[in-house]
Amino acid sequence: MAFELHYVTENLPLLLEGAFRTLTVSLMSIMVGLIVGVVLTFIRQSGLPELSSVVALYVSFIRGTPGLIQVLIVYYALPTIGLNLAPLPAGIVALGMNSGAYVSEILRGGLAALPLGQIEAARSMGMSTFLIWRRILLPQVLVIVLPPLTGEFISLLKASSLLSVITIVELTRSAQRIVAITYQPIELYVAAAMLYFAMCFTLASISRKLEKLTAAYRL
Amino acid sequence: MNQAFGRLSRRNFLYFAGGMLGTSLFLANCSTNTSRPLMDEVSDRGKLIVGTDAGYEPFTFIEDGQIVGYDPDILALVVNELGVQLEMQELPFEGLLPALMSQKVDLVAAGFKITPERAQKFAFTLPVAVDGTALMKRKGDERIETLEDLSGKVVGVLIDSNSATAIAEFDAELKASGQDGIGQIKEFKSNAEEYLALSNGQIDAVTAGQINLAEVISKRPDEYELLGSIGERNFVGWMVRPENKAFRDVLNQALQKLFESGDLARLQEKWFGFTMDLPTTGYLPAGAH
Repeated sequence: MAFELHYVTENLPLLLEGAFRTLTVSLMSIMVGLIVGVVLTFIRQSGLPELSSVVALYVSFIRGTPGLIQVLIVYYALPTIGLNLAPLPAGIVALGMNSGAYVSEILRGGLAALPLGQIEAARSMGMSTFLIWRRILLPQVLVIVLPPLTGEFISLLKASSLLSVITIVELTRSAQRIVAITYQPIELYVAAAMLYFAMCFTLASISRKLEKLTAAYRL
Repeated sequence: MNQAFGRLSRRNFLYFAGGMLGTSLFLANCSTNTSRPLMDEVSDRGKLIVGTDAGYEPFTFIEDGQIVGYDPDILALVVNELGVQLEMQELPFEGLLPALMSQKVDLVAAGFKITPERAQKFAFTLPVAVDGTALMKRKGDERIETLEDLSGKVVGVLIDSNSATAIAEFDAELKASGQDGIGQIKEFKSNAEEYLALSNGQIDAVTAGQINLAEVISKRPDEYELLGSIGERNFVGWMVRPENKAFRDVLNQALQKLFESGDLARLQEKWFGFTMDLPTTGYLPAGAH
């Protein structure tokens, strides 16, 4: 079977439209994921044991259940408790809540890597909590977590294909739609794979650039 | 690290938690009020939200990135009558009824046949079509000449569809007549996937609605041919939630007008190439909503 490129070129606008949707949904979910992750980390570090254990339960629930089920729960099951989200918000909430759990684990790991003595020293010099975070903890933690965080965001971008089951016409669904008309699975799915790869590769390259720029802050 | 957060008080935390709760309630839309008539809700919203799988030509399918077909054409006339816009949402076939149940959509239109099981759980509109169940094979596949030749063969079917019931019944008939029965019934998530699997030789035949298969074959006459039909002919209708019977009546009135004006017949001619005799009474099975 020959690889007939014209099936890809003819349908490129639809594929690119799907890729754009994948990208925007992923970026918005990454934002939600970062906020959720920071908030969860904040709660865990807050020294309120009952809340910390709720967060720990949440994180292990997210890590212990398939992303597809989480998407289906947010879209189909939440309306029964009065939370009826439109497809796009539902997708962003599902992916963002999922990512948030992983982000909080990454941040926890990053914080644990910092020697406690730094904070003790800073405190003994009279620095405020805010100043300790701004001048000592954050610059170091952000540098430490950059590579694992990038990995998480690349996973999220790929997992956004799960949203095809809740009416969101992202890249995977776009490719499926075109295959349903052209009956050319090879050309279209390979094209979709290349577009995913291009997006993930770009994300990874940006992360590597940032890593170089922030090397001065490394421990 | 706890000491770094030492100054976060419980009260501050509660403020924060309250803010998060408020945000999530803000994100939720308030369409869960079941006591309010759905028609009022649709009017306020300004659009009718319809779920479809868009993989069932000529009823509902994708062309140039748009959902088109017989159902979207009728729906366009119906929303015109209701004075609202039409929003069609594309879901996997097996996700359509869950979406209807969880109030994601007001109505589903995807070639659903009016069967007693469905009519007991959902409220059907007037029938918009009548359709049978057929089987399709690869063109020139000499191993399968008659329906009985399906013994030991692999047949693909759309998961949860009426064809899945029809092929299971046909399988039981085959076995009752002393044959081996169908080798395997494979369930697919979309019609497109099963046609592709048939082309690829992964399955030996496909069963789906007769009108749909006739359309697929007419588009690819070198690839597929009709094998025969099984089961009974059924009326095809749209479905709403059982508590929205008043809304179903509103839809029926609009459909009735299209019957009388001849618009429905015109659309049948456009998409099927022939017109159908459809009843306006007595089409619902006993015990239906």
